[in-house]
Amino acid sequence: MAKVTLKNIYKVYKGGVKAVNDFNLDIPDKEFVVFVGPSGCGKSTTLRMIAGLEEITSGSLYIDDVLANDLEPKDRDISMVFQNYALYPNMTVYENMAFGLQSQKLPKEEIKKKVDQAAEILGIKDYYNRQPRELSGGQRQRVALGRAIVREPKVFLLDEPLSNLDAKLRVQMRSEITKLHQRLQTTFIYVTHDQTEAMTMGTKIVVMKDGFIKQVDTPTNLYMHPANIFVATFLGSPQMNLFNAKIVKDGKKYKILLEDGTENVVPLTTNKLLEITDDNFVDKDLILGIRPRDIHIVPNTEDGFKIKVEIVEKLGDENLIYTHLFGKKEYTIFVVDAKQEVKVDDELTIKFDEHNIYLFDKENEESLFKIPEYNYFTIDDINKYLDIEELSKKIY
Amino acid sequence: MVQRITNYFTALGKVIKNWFIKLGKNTKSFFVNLPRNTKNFFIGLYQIIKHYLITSQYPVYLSAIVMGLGQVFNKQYIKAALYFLVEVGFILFMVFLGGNYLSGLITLGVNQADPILGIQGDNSIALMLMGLVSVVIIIVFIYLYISNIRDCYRTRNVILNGKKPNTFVQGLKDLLDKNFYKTVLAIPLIGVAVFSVVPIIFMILIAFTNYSSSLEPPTDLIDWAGFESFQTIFGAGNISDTFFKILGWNILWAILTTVINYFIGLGLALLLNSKKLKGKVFFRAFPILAYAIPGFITMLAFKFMFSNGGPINYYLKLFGADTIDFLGIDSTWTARFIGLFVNAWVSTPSIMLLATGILSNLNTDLYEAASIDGASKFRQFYKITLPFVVFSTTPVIISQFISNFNNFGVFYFLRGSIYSSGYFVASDTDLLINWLYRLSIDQQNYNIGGAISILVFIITSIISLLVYVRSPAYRKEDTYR
Amino acid sequence: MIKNKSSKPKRYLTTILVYIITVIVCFIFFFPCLWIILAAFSGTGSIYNFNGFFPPNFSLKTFEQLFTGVTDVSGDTVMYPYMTWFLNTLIIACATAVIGTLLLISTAYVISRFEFKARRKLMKGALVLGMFPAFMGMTAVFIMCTQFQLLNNLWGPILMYSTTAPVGYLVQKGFFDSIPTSIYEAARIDGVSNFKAFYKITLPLSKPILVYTVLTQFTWPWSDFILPKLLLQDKSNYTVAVGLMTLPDTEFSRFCAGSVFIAVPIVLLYFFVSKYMVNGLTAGAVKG
Repeated sequence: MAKVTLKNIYKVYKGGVKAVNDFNLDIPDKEFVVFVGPSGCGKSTTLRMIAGLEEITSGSLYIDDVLANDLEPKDRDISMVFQNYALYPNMTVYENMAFGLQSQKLPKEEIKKKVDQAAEILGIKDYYNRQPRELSGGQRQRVALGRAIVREPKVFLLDEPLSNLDAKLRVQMRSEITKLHQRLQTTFIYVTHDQTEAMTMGTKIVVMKDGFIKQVDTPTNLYMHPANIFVATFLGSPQMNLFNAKIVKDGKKYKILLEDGTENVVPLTTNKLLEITDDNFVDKDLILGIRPRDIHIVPNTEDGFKIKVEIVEKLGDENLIYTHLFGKKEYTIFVVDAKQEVKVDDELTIKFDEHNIYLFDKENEESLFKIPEYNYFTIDDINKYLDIEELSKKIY
Repeated sequence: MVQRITNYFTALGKVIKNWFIKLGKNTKSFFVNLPRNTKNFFIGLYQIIKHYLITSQYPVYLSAIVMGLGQVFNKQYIKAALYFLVEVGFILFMVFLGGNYLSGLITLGVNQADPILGIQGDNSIALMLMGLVSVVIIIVFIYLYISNIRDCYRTRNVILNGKKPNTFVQGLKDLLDKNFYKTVLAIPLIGVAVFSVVPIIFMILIAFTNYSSSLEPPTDLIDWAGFESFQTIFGAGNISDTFFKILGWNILWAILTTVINYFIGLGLALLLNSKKLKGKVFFRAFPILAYAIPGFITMLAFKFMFSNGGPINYYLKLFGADTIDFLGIDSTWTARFIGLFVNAWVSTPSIMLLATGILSNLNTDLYEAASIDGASKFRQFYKITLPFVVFSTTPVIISQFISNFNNFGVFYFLRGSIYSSGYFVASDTDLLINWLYRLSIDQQNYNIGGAISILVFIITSIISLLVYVRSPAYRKEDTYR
Repeated sequence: MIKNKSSKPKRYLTTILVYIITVIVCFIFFFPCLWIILAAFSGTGSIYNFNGFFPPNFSLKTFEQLFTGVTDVSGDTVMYPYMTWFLNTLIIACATAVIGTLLLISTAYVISRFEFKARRKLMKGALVLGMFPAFMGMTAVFIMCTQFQLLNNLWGPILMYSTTAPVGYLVQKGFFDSIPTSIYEAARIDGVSNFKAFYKITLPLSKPILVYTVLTQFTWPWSDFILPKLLLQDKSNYTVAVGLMTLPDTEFSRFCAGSVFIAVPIVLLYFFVSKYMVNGLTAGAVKG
């Protein structure tokens, strides 16, 4: 039951390698925060600094308003779940969960009570006398969670806990961890490189790259309003398509000219125009982004871009269509319903949904559109979800 | 093939040449910079102490003057007492022994003994050795002295920040937790310093003295003699002849034994892993038996076997032939061959075990793929097994080469008491390491012995360095951390 | 496929050949051992009375001579006090096995697990130390032992063996490196001290490497001869190795009996734990 505050946190390794740069974040109580990013982005390092396993080069870390920089891990009131579970191989499941409590010198009955409680929640009571090597991956992960729970920490740290599990188990454990979070009502900090995990589990997501925070927001807002090209392409599958573009003035109206400046044009709607924050957007080098689901096939008679289908990837309920557009080297991908029959070499006309386009400054890769201010629901809000009045107050 | 071998050796030559150049440069810069580095060391020391002095208050000053005094002001009485005892002990040591030892290390003693007058002179060698031990003690003391100031400084800061300093019990607990590595490393470090490093430095120093059989230390004084021993080795004369003769044989021996042992060991492993052989565990027991028997027993047994009254000569006599003095003074090459054989008997089993381990890691899919491709058994061996085994055992081959180069036991036992003519206190089968032993332990020609050990070190280190740089352990260690 | 299959007679021939070579090889390895064992049970002591490899008659006399007390009538146990030598060897080897293993294991563990300023320097130092000829410093050790009153004292070799053991930490370090770091991090978060983590987590996991280390630390002094020869110059302080070296041709069967007696336990040990030995050997090989 704690909030965690990171202020100007840096991690610089010997030899000057900067793993984390100026990391600022406020994590309110009971939040489920996910750090997500490609490997080497500094997400694990940040988590390990919160845990106290890694020294903080500069900056301050507060756990419940107490400066925690120099506290030993055991004094920070945290617990951690590791990617490879890190169970003590020579101890039984029970001993694994009780080991930490024993070193706190708690009475035996109390330890038993706490371990029993945690085992009950996770359904691992039957394995008490087994050793980790006799357990399956999912069971080991549960024991690791159990070991973290018995400490009754203020903050739960999870370092890619699901990446060693197979796909089916991962989905199952995902929902179990979410349930656990609701049940324990503590702060969770979760590190993953998997965007699906991040989107489905987090109440708040921190997207990181090369040691920098790229954006912090709720899953929906991140998807709807990416602040930069990195966030835009990192979240969402298949990836957002990107094209070089330019906004030109055409009489009184504005339009977006694509790639080589020929007649390939996407209209700039008034709504979008109003969202633009940069005053000098005309004739600037821009990147236009469009998600694969926002490209639609229109009848050949209508206006649009003429394409030739090159690859059709069948996913069951929908198909991915690969093609080359505007002389761009990379494939352009879009999604069509599986019922709509599309074959390789088909010649089609497609259209971009002009309400769902994204524009980025080519130079600094930042979004041209205004990003709604820090606008997310806490777990309390979600609990009050049924209370529409309360919710509408929050939004408007 | 020839091209590749030449390339390899050219590359090898380059590495060795560069290593020598680097060694030369490093040695030169070490000596050139020695005064400056020493100065810098003391300046650094001074600055560390000054840093602690300037940035804090009087207890730290006190600690700098008398160890433990600052701790008294920090109310850490037990710690204070311990530090104080260390200082008292050190001062007593320096006054009564250390000072004498240190000056002895430089002068090697000044008072000549005279038994007639009953004067007990300085024992140069003891002075030198104890001087080195004193250096170790001084280093340990400096470490403790700095830690004393640092500790006082830190405790002071904790107190100034309004927190409670660690209690003595807490400090002891830290020794098992935060400072666990210091606790654990203290004993091995001091042990290695006193029993490995000091003796080696001692021998290096001895190489630059005149300590030879003509001088007997408690009575005679030893003195520094510069590069005299090296001049003796590389100049003209009996010692120099002996050195080059032995060096030549030593290199030949190292190459022969390595090649022979390696291929016999590999052959044994293949033979005892053969699919056609049943009862592998039983047959494998024999080489393991040979591996387990202590080496000195084997070698002494072989000496008995080839001795004049031994069984081999018994049978020769029985069949009417003349007895052969296999290990005698004139039988250079027979003795050398027997040495090769005995060494193979002792060493091949370990290589066999090693190769067996590696062969069991060999991916059998490769063979299946090869036999589907129609490769013959011999081709399979030549193209798959051999490269794989050789590749995974390269470090072993080279470390085998080194241990063979320095193989003391074989000829010590077979021909330990033989002195060949034309050699300076050595037999014609002796390796450098045997000669070193005879020169220093048997004949008390310590300075020549010391110089030869330095040469052996240089040869060994070149080879080791090549191994070490090539080994995956080194590369891995370098890439992470 | 078919052309690769050798014809039946040829296959038999190679099988027979494999067996013949194997038997010859095993004979070469076994014969000297057999010879020594037979000679140990010889009725006569001198090698000159043997019929080639075979003793003229058999008896247990030599073993009796080895073990009967110092007050033996013929007086020869006083000349070759084997039991004393054996006890000396046992004491040195056991003490080294305990102290040496302790120092070696803890050093390897600390170097593998902890990150501290001097770590790389220590590793390089150990490497350089290993390149010096093993008994380069023997003279110095000899003089040092004289100074410290450790000459003709079993503690001399014990101290030498065990304090120099940590230099060969690489194999053990390789083993400890293979234990995942996260286990120790979990222990740290659980509030377990480093020392407790060492004996509660590391040691239970290190059984193979412990067995290997104890064994190597035990067999080294058990079969070494250079150091004891130098440091133990009094007959009553000899180890078996030094003692057996002093035996002349005429005491051949005594030599054999003495050898058999100290070789048997070590050979048995090797066979029981050969799995660990091979593992240790290959570990050392891979780590270079």
